Amino acid sequence: MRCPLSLSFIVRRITLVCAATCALPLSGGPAAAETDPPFGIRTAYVQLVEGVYLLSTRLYLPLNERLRGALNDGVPLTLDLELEVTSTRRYWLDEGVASLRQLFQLQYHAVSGRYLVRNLNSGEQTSFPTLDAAVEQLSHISGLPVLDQALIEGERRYEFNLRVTLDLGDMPDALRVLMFWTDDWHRVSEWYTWPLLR
Amino acid sequence: MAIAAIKRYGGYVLIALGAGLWLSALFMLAKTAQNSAEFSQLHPWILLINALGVVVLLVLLAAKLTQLVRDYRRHVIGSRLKARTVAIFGVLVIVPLLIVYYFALEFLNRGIDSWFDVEVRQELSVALRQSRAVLELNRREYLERSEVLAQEVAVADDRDAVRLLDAERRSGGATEITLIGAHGRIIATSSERFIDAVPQRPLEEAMLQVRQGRQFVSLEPVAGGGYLIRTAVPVAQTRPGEEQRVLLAVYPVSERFAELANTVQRAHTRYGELSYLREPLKYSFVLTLTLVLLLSLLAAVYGAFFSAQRLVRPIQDLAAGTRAVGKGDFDTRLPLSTRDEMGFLVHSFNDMTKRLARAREETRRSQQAVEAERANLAVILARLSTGVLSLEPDLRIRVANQAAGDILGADLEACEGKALEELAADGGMLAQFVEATRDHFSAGQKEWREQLELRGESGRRVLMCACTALPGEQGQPGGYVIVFDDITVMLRAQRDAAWGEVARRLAHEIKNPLTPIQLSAERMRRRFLGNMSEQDAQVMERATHTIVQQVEAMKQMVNAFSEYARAPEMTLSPFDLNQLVTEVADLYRSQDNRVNVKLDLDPALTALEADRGRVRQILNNLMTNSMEALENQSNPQVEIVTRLNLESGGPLAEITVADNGPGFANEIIGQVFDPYVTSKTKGTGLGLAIVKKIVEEHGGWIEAENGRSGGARVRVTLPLDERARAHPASRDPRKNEPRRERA
Repeated sequence: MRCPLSLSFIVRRITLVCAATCALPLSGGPAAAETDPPFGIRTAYVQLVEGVYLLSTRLYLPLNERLRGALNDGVPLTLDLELEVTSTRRYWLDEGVASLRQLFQLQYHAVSGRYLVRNLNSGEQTSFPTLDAAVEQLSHISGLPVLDQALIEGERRYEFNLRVTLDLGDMPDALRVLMFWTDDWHRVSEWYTWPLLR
Repeated sequence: MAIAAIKRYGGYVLIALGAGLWLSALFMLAKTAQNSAEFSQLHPWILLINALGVVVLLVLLAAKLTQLVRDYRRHVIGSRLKARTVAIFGVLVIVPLLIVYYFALEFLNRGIDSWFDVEVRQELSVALRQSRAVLELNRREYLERSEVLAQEVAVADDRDAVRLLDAERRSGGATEITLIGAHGRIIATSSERFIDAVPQRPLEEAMLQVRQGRQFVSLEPVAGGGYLIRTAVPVAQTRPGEEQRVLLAVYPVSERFAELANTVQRAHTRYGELSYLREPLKYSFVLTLTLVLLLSLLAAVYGAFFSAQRLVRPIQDLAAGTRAVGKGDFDTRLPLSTRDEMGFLVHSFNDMTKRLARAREETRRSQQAVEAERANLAVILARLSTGVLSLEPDLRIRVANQAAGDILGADLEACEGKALEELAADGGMLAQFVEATRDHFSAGQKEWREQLELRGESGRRVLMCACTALPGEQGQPGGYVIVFDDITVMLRAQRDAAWGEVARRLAHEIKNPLTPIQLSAERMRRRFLGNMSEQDAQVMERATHTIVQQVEAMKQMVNAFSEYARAPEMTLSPFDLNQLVTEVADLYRSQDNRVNVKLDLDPALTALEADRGRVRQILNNLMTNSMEALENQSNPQVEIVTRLNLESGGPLAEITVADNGPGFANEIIGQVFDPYVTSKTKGTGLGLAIVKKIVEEHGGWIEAENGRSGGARVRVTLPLDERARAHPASRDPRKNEPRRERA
């Protein structure tokens, strides 16, 4: 057990608190460890099926050892898939047409020894014997309805913007703020953008 | 009024609001640190607000501290007390807070670490293993049942297989049992769901394992908290060429076991999360605690400044008020903000300044009254014809009025503060006066009264003096006041009145027998002169002639007496004085051309309202006087000057007759206007007495003196008209001056 009574311990804590307090409003996102493999979206596209655009995407979700350890300790991982459909305008800011957020949760079920993939939007749950199988399942998303064709006007140009975020655990925001400075729990991809082809 | 209320209570309202916001922010911060969902999203902003609060308080404290240091260096009143109070308050607040913070940190870290004690982890692992063991038993049991069923199905045809599957489903509690053939063809199935429901697809992993000739069993958690045990068992081929069949079964785990397993799973998950979040939790609590401490600390120190300011302000006010009182500003009133001891002090100060102001006002009024009295007294003394001389106990002059100086012939107002002894050195009447008073003071007489007779250049002066002691402290005299009157004029008036009475009686008593004497002498001469011898006749002739001549002389003398004593019967009318003077001068020039009569007439003096005959008599008497004085004088000269005087209150006519004769003898200069006072061999001795009488009948006055270059000088001043005669200022403004008279 670490002894909290030393002066250096208190000083480090106070320094950390002050740094977190001062830098808080300035921070925009997490800083992934430099050694981590790339994280993001390989491909993404939409298909028009019976008047509804369906999203299919292939994600690249490498999990480092720390994340795997946390997962095996019972901490769930949350995958946040954000899709924004915008109508591009030449002389003005783009107009938001639709947005979609799909949440998935990856969790190790210690009693059964299986990995659960849960769609938090629909409640659908699938279990896998290995983590890789579960991640592979998460990496392939297809046929996700995202946009009604009726919302698309013929003359305008549209863009799809997709981003995926990986969060560790279901922790309160207060702790997220502090985790920001202590671990690479938060991974977020670049925006993946492609135009709507008709 | 509303603005005053806002100014008065605005600060308190702001402080209350700030304190409320601060407590709310701390409360929310504590809630977020305890994983409260409602404030969780606000956590960054709450952190920011608290941090901003810390920064704001730091800035305020820095400003206050800078101000305090500046005041301390400038020795501003109250700054030292304020610094001491802040230091004491600060130490009293900071030390306990730091101690609490130190032990709170210790308890916090130890408390959180205790959650992740080894025993807890071990107990959780045991529970997890037990759960797994229980579920493993379930899996084995269902796998064995599946194997038994597979053996039975292996020897049965497809129709019997359906029956066997259905029987096993019902007896074993399975939810679904399916027999599939090659390529996933469903041979037989039994399900508790509807008859037309499609059987669940076999898991890939199960089919992969079965193809390898091994049995498959898995425990699969399902949404909603339940568990399913899936089994896949290959069915043995009993006939050659028979296709490979697989028996798939799905068994639910009992709810009791599922609930227990879920509990263990949740505990495991929660523990894992917490253990992973242990450090952030510590940071969060430390952060909350530190912010609370910082805010409390800074707020307490700021409160110390505030309290010290409130404590010191009345003292500063008192100091400023005392300084103002020291400078004489008694109108200073201090604000009464509290009702404690300091308020009592301020109230006492205000009461004191009020009393001081009142006392000063009363003093000022008294002083004004005294000044007014003094001014009145000064005016009275200045106008008083009586001389008043106030002396200090050591006989130095305290105050002397103008009349005193005039009577004694000295400027006593310039001698204030000087001792009487010093004044005695200059001789003159003042020296005689001092000499006379010194005798009394030397004899220890504090109150005395005496008639003094002084001799000066202008003649003899008779003063009636009275001295009295002023009340002083402890029975000692506070000084002396000598009051004296010049009674010379009064005595002379009494003498004049006596002489008038004598003249009247003499005229009456002497004039009556003179005529019979004269007639008798003439009768004797006529009767007996012819009957007598020549020798006797000559004797008779001489004797009667002598009698008649002397009687005639006596008549003249008696007439002069009666002239002096007769009652005034004046006929006032305006006439040209310069013309009258010219006529009289011409008359005397014609009588004796040896005497040079010079005239210096004021052309502004046109008309004098007086009895012309009597004014002529004045001029005649004065000219006669001068001409007689110049009889044996070489280069005799008489000058008559007339002037119009407008400065002495009313228009006055001045007539001055001056000669270059021997002047008045010193021994008689004070009595020249008395009857029969003369140094000449000729004349009745009534000339100047008659002149003075006529002048006084006209309301004027007369002065006689010796000129600086010798000779006598007589000046007559007459009111120009009736109006001037009635004016009080025209009545001898020089009454108090020394008289200069001549015979």
